[in-house]
Amino acid sequence: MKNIPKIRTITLFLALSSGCGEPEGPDFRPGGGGSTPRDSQNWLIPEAEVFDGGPGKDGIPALNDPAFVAASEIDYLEDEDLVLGYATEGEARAYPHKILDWHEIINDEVANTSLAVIYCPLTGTGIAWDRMISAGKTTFGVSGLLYNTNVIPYDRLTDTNWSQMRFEAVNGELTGEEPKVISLIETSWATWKEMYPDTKVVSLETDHNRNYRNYPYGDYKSNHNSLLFPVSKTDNRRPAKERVLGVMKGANVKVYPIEHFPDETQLVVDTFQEAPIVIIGNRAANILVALNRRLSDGTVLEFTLAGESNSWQLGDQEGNRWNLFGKAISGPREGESLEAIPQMMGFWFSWAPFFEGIEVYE
Amino acid sequence: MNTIRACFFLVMITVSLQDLWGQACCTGGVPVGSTLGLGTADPKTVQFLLTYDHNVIRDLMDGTTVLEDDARSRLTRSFLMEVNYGIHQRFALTVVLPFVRQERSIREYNNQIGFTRAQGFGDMVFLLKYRILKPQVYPNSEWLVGAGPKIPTGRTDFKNNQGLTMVADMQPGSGSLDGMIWSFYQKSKFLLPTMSLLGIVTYRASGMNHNYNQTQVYQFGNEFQANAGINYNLFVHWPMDVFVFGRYRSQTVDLADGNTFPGSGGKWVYAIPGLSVHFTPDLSIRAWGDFPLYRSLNGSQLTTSYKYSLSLFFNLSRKTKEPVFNLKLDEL
Repeated sequence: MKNIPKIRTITLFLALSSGCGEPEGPDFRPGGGGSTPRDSQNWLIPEAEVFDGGPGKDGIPALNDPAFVAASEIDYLEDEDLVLGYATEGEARAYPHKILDWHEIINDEVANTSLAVIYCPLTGTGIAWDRMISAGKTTFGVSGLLYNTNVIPYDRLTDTNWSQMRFEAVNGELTGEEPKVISLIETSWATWKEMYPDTKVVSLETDHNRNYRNYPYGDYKSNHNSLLFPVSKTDNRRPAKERVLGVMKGANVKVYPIEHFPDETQLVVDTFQEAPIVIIGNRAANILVALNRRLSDGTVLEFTLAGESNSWQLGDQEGNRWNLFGKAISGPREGESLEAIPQMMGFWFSWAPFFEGIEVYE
Repeated sequence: MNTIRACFFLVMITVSLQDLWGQACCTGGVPVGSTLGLGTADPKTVQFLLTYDHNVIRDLMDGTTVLEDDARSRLTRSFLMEVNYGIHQRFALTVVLPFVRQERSIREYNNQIGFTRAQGFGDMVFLLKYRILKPQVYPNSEWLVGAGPKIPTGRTDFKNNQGLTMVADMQPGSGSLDGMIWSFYQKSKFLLPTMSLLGIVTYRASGMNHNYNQTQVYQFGNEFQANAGINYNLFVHWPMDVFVFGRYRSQTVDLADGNTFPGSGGKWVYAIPGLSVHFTPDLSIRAWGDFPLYRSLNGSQLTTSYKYSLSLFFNLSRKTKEPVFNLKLDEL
């Protein structure tokens, strides 16, 4: 009987120590990734090359319809800070890397366009997709998964996972679908303001508490040896974290290192996959943009710089003026648009795992 | 014998109840340094220390700044069994076996909570301890040092609900062979006849997991912990101790393929109040809590909001009347 206090004690210890099992209730669901478990086997990409990035689904919260303010109302951006810029129908918006480093996706409405700005801090690649997909109008979130260290967004209508750099849905109900790409320009905050003085920019009032002035990845951007997750293929022709413009077509890409351009605006007439293109580059202004030179009627444009007063516009042999989004803003073809070329800036290392043929502009 | 049978019976119940329990340790590998609480044992004496840790990790911090954000939280529960065997008057062997449960909850955009967990046995620790001070010469002081390996017995391949292996700090094991150094100091009758001064220092030199994400090498940061505190004996029906410790912990950054993994490492200072109840010299229970006083973290990371722990000590073959915390029963 003298053992009873000890047994009571030990039993009490066990009772106090016992934890709950799984949380229950309608608000709890198995976490991790965008798709439900029944879709987990149907990956268009090698499943062994998809990794859990760590934060979990929505652990990096995408922004939905954030507040924008005038450029003069913010002080968190320095002139050299990078932004992704979009302009349409007289409205210009800047999506800063300082915000995107913490949220990766911004779902927005600009004029009549619903777009998702998707940026991967690990590959340095930023692009916009139309939020109208086959299943309807959606928003995109961060699944927390990575393929070749590149972000895998998921759409909230169907829970399908998409690969940013493959430009297609890779797991889930919409597997194989390709998003409609919306051109963005990545450049410095100073250059963007020069291009679009009336631009709006994402406000710091995001409803999330983050230190947006701090870069969350340490020396990752500049450390050429640091890849936090595996990639299936490497190419050592350039330094891993060198920023390049990738112009893409099918399984091929041609990259233009920004370091190959001078500190004043230069036009490079080039050909990629038999298509005539022009690259507008300025290293000091931190801008590289590719434009199609062939119009839908077959005319091949010969571009020139429009002059100092319009340093971010191009002229052609017909007397038109074009902006860097490929839209004619004056001249006989005013209102016409060049067919967009799939392109985005990114770190050099990020292209090799996704493209078989990589040309480098020398 | 009845005591021994009862203890063994309850240990078996404990083991068989594992699947029903959430048990885990801290994030950042399986740090067991804070739970190496046993001193040394007399020759041919076997001591058991069963500890439950409940580590609530939901403070999102950037450097020294707490960010008000409750979208993500982690909970690590661990059940640690520490066995201490007295080999010799001067030597003892300690084995620590943890069972770890890692949980992660994220509030998704539609306010549903995405829940993920991994649980299993963690990495075992073996320590050979040496008593530096001879008790005959220093009857009121105890100073022990120990060293040994942390063996990667814990799994590192638990998957989320999509069949993808989760990141390193969600796994019960570390995948690496580490080295541990430990030291324990106690001085009885410190300032008062019923007060003791205690200190525990641990250092873990982390090895590498060469099988991380199939092709990568992951290395948790090296960890140093220093605990110092006061233990006061009193008597309320049973002999009891109340104590308060301060803990300093620092961890270097984690490395992936030799490069800094963002949001890892830092420095912490905790206040640790608690109490022990000694039912007999063979059996005592202890409860304490860890409350952060200072945190300086590398980058942005979730960190401990608070932790509580429960510990049960029992001695299977006690040769002397000395309890593990040197409580002088005949002086109360």
